[in-house]
Amino acid sequence: MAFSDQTAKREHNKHELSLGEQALQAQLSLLAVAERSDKPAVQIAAIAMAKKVSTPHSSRIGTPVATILGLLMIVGAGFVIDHAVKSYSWFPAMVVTTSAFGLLLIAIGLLALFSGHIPADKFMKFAAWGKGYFSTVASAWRQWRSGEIDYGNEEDQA
Amino acid sequence: MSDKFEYAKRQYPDMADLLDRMQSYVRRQDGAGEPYIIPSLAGAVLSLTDGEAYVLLEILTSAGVVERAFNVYCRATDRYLTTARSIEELDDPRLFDGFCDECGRKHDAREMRVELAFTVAKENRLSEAA
Repeated sequence: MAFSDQTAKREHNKHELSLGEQALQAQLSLLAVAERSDKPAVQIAAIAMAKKVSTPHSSRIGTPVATILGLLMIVGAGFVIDHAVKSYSWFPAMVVTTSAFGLLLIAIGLLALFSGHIPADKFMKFAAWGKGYFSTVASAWRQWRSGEIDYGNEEDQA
Repeated sequence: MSDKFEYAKRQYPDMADLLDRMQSYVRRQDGAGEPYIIPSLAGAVLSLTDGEAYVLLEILTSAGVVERAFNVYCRATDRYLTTARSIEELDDPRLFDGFCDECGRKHDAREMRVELAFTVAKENRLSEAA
C-alpha cells in the first residue's frame, strides 16, 4: 500500500478533525490518488510530497536538534572505540566497539526518522532489531564477566 | 517567475509538458478573473485526475507561479467563510473565529469544511502587471 494511502486511511472521523487536520487529510487523499497515476513521474513526485506532508511539523523543527545529537553520538562513538581498542583486551574492546556501532546505527536511525526519510512504524521495527542486538551483546558481556566464557582478560593485554 | 518555472521544469523533465499545460490553464483562469485554481476543476479541463492536477499545482507552488489557499465553507449552507494561506492559519482563532453570517453564529471545526485551492502568486497576476 502506498505511503500516503496508509496515512489517509487512518481511522479518523473527518467531522472530528480540526480545519488544519482536514486540510492535511485532503492533501494526503489527493496525493494517494496521484500515487496511482499511470504517469511514473507524477507517482514519484506524489510519493515524495506525501512523505513531506506526513512528517509532523514538530519533527521538521526537531531535525537540526537531531542532526546535532546524531553527530555528537557519532563523534562520541569514535572516541569510545578508540579508547576501547587501546585500553582493553580484545573481547571487552569488541563488546564496547559493537555497542558503539549500535549507537551509531541508532543515531543514523534517529536522523532518518526526524528528517522524514523513514516513517515511525519502520523506525519501530528498526528499534526492535536494535533491542535484540544490544541484548545479545549484553548477554555475551555478562557471560564473560561471570567467567562462563573465557575470551581473555585484561591481564592478557598486559 | 519564468526562471523559477524553467528551473521547476528542469527538476521534473518528465513532467515538462504537463507543467506547461497547467501553467497555461493557470494563466487562462487568471486572465478570466477567476481568483482560485481548484485541482479537481483543473484536472477535468486538462484530462488529469484530481491527484495529478494537485501534484502539478504543488510543483508550480514551489516554482512561485501559484500560492496555496485553503477555502473554508459552512457545511450546512455551503457558504464561503474565509481563506487561509497556510495550515497553521486555519487553526489560529485570532485569524478566523468560525463566524458564519448565514447561520448567525460561530461554528466549530466539525461544522466547516476545507477546500484545497491555489491562487496566482501576487507578482504574477495579470491584473498586477497591467
